Amino acid sequence: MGNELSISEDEMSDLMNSTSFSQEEIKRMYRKFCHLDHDRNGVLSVDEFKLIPTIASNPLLPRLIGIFDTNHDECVDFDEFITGLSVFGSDSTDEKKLKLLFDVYDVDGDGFISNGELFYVLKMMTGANMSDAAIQQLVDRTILDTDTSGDGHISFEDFSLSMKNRKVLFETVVGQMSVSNKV
Amino acid sequence: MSSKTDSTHDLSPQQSASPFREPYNLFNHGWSQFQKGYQTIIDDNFTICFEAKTYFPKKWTFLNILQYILKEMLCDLIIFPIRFIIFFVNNFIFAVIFILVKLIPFSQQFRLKLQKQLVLGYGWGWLSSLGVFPTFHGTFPKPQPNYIYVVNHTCMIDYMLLCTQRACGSVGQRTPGFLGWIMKHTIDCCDNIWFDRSMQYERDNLTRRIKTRIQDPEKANLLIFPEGVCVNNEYTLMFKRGAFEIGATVVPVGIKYNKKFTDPYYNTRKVGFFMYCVNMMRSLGVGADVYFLDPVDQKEGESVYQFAARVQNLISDATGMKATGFDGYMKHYPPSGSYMRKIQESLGDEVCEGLRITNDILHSLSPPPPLPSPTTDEEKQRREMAIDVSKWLVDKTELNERQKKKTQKEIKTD
Repeated sequence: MGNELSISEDEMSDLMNSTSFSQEEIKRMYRKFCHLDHDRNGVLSVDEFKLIPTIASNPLLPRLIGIFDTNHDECVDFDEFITGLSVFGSDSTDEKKLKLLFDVYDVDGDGFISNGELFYVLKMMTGANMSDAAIQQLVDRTILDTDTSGDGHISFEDFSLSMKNRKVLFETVVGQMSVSNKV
Repeated sequence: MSSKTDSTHDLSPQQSASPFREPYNLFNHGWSQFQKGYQTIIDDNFTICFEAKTYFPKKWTFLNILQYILKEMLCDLIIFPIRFIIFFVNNFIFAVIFILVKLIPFSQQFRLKLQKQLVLGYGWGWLSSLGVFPTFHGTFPKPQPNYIYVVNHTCMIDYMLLCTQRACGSVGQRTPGFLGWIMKHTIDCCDNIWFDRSMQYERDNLTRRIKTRIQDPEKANLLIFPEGVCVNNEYTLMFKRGAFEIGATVVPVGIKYNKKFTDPYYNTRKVGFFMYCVNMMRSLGVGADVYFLDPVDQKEGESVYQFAARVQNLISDATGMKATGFDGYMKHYPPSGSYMRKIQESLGDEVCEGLRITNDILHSLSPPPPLPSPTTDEEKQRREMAIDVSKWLVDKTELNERQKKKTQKEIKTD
């Protein structure tokens, strides 16, 4: 697949500046990207993600793609792909990792987790196994617990504060996310 | 599932030892699933179970090229013709003999005995024509009623290897072409069980057929490849429960190939069986270590899945392969919604547990803190329904218990 490796010098230096990955890492990720990009159009569509069997059966797939797809065009180009993965880079901070977890729930990307968004993600996770009412109750309680400013939705500050208070979970989440040696 | 199995089925929450040490956090849920998705994008562990080894050197130097050319000449000009002749003669002679044995009116018992001896020779013929150099560790246990032999699967050579020790039958997908012809005409004395994956009726019948088949001590050993698909001999996939739920004693057999010169992994998508044989014949050869392990029984209180995972780990340990929890079925068919529903179900149980805890905390507080005011109509509606949540939780618990009992009953009646 040698001929597909066509990142220009400019693009490469841009990517290296914005993500702190090394040149070798970016090349490797580009090969990975080309491998996933079956129709060779330079972007990964939802269907292409679904060709990986273990991804297709992941209930959180829409959120997974949503996190990569920062410009909301329903597909992931290489810039988005590599920015999405940079959370796992060697110099990534705890703050960045927490932001990723926050973004899973922040569906519309406005910087707040609203009541409806939390409900939507929980519904996606549990499918038909929880009644709407039960989820709603849980959502209400969570927002009540987490929201310090009392405006009815969770901001990132609220979120990181509550995560840091729950030390066990914080360490689990942040610890698990250092997979940079695998990239 | 054992801790060794690197598993996608391990759906338990990460902190299972101390479930939700308070304060409870909702954001814990689903994180493991999300992370698995991320990890798969970074390195897809499922696909690498089916990747063949490549033998081209990374850099071409003069020495490399010379070595390569010499090797190819040796293989193509000397080894390949010899092996092809063996291949042809072996198949031709045994086909004739097998047909003759069927036609000559021997007594049924004698014929069976003769056929079983012939299969041994036929197996050796195959091995030498494909260039397989086997080493056997331990001995193949004698056929006994209610014994079943469970083997990890890489290619057809697995079956030939074991056939050189004792004639054995297998359970497998019915195949057309050259391989189908062999299946039908030469090794039919071993009472193989062929079926068609796509036919529901045959699949349903399979367990019953296997069960009756292994009760008869006259019949050859029955081999089962519980992974269901060929794997590249670096990993073992999840062992399907079929072989483990019939109440038989399981004899694990591990086969590990030495892939120094060629990779025996059979990729059905890329080549047909005949071309696969030709490719094998054109190589220097492949070593094979066959490990016969001690028979194991299902322990008391062990579920079928745990039993299957235990046998998988035994084989993986003996052969030095890495155990994974992937379902080989996904190689052939896109994953069905049922797999996703299984994940959702377990996530649902987790969230339920969380809800129960928040409920308990709520009841311990008096008066309960006020809820934030609803912002949309939908939320209002759901809020009104939420009054009945405690009742729903009780119902849900009962339902789960009932389902558990039902599945246990099903396993027993089977």
